[in-house]
Amino acid sequence: MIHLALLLLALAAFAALCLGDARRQVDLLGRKLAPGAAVPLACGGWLLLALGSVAAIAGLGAYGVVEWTGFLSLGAAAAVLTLSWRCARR
Amino acid sequence: MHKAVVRLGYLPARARRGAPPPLREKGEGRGATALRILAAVPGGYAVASLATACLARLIPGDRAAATVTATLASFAVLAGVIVLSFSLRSVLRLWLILIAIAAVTGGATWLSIALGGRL
Amino acid sequence: MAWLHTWAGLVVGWLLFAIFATGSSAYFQSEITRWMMPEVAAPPPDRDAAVQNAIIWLGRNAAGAGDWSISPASKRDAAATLYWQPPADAPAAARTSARLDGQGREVAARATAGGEFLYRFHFELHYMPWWLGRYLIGIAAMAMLVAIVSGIVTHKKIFADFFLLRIGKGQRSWLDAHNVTGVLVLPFHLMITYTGLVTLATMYMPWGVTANFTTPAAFFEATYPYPEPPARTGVAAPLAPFAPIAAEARRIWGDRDIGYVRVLTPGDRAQRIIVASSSEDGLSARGTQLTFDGTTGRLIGRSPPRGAALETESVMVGLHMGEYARPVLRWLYFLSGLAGTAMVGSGLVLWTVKRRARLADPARPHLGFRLVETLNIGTIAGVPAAIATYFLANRLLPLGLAERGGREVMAFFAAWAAAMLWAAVRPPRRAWVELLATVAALFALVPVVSALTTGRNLAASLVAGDWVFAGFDLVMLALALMFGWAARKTLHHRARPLPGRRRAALAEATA
Repeated sequence: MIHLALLLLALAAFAALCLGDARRQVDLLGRKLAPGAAVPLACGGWLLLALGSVAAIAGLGAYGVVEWTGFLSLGAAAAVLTLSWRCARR
Repeated sequence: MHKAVVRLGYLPARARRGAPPPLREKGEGRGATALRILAAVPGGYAVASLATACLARLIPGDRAAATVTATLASFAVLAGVIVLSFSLRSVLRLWLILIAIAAVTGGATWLSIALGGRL
Repeated sequence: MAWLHTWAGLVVGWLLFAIFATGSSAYFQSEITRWMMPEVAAPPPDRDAAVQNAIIWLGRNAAGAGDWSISPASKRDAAATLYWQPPADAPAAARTSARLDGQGREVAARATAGGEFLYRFHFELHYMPWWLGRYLIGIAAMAMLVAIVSGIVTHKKIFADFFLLRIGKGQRSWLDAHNVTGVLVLPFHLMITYTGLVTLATMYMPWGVTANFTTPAAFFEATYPYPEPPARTGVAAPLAPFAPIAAEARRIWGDRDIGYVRVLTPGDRAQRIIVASSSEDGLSARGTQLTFDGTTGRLIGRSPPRGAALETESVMVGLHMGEYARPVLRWLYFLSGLAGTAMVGSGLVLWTVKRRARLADPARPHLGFRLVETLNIGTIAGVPAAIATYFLANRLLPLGLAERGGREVMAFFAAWAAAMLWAAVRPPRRAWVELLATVAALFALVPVVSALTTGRNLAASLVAGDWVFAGFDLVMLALALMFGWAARKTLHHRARPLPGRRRAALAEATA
């Protein structure tokens, strides 16, 4: 189950990082979030990345580092593809 | 392996608005590009080879381990030299730097082998 | 710097495409081999029994040989693989290898090179001396490393504003695809390229060895000695039972299982059994070897522990090979490799898209442009066509055909050559559509032909829980859908000449 947890952490982290930028909020959601939302979201994103890194090493060791890197690519891809899809519809 | 600090010797083309950017550096002809390619590929391989040999001699400890360390790093050195060949503004300076590195590492290697021999 | 990225990528791009495509498949080479040998049933579960059976088989069929090598089936293989060194007086064409099933009998399956052909191709090519293939691929790998570094230097702002990365419409879409497949999977691309060079490092950069050792053999003796069979004493002795040796080996290793077994000078009192740990159990690929007296079964030697340098090399090789990867990570490796293939392919197409805008007369391009375009079409469609044809040949070639394995390989290259020829004679737009559609059809045919010729169809595999066969067929269908979609997109694509302002912007962005 740790594998699933790491994947979800990576997805959540990149979603948060993406939403932590006011311009991307417009791209993704069509509107800006509350003015104070960007910084906590961005910080939350970095926190989730750190948490995932620690969990990967603690739970799976060197294997975890490699797998976590792969999940990071998936998380980033999910964010990028969602952005592309949302922007294309506009 | 400490690589030489790269100074980007040209302005990125997109800093100039309007005109489409040239494919190569402004003012550089085919000759300069050819010299860069010579510096990068055969020159780079020569420099990386000499640097690897030099490192393999100078890293202390077990000879096999030193050899492995130097060899593992060699590809980074080669990539570094190739990228350097296309980022230094002056082709002359590039060649001088590469010749200097080759001379120093080559000389050190030769001296080390002459004094210490090989297994 | 952008010039360097473009030309380093272009000159070796077609070779890199083939390397990435076949290399990606290599992460499933065991599964591919199992699919290509459908006669073989489920893999043998007991590794010790497999080795013991192999020893018995070799004792009967290769008794005079001085050096046996036994690779019991890993978690993913179908059969145990045996190699032996025939005695000096054996005829030149004597057998040197065999495959055994779980019961220790020779596998009665069609002759095929299996997934291993695709794996070997990606670092050795084919139809040429092994060293030539490896050098050519080494050059391509080095150029790839330069392309990656120069790509990062050129586009460093992508890391500052990461989420500007996206796939857009129109003329920028090829650049976007290249950026997305490149940047999103960048850690993998960097790792796979550098570690790829490392796997053959002493061949590409032998000067560290030369500096410290008078001969390469001295270096390899110091790092990874390969013991030769000890001289025969002439006193016959039976080989010690393997199970206690295996148990002792596992006890010493702790976390690793048996990778392969060598028996030296079997049948003689001087015999030795060398047991090597498997690379499936950890990131470090190079295992530990334990040497046992073959007659008494006692441990008499072990390979020395590795220092930091050798361990680093071992981990780098392990990272590249991915043998340690369990299913989720293995799929990540495979998908990352496919992304790399797409990155190389989109880069090649991007070059023609960008250059076409600069052509004086787009209808009559100069020879260099035409050459690149032909090679692009012939490779990006040709290599997948070749892979699909290789699988089709495995199902269609007569089972008793002489040199059957070699003929399957020939079919691979024949398909690639045909695609290249088609790309050369047809107008480019038509060639793209026709070849992409052909590739889609070829991949779609693979599960169909397989079901018709072997009786193992997708539905039956799913019901039986045979994930190797089901997975293979599903991947073939997915690839067919992907290439079909690509063919359709190309068919409906209207290349509009950009207005001057946007053309300048595109040129500036890709400079």
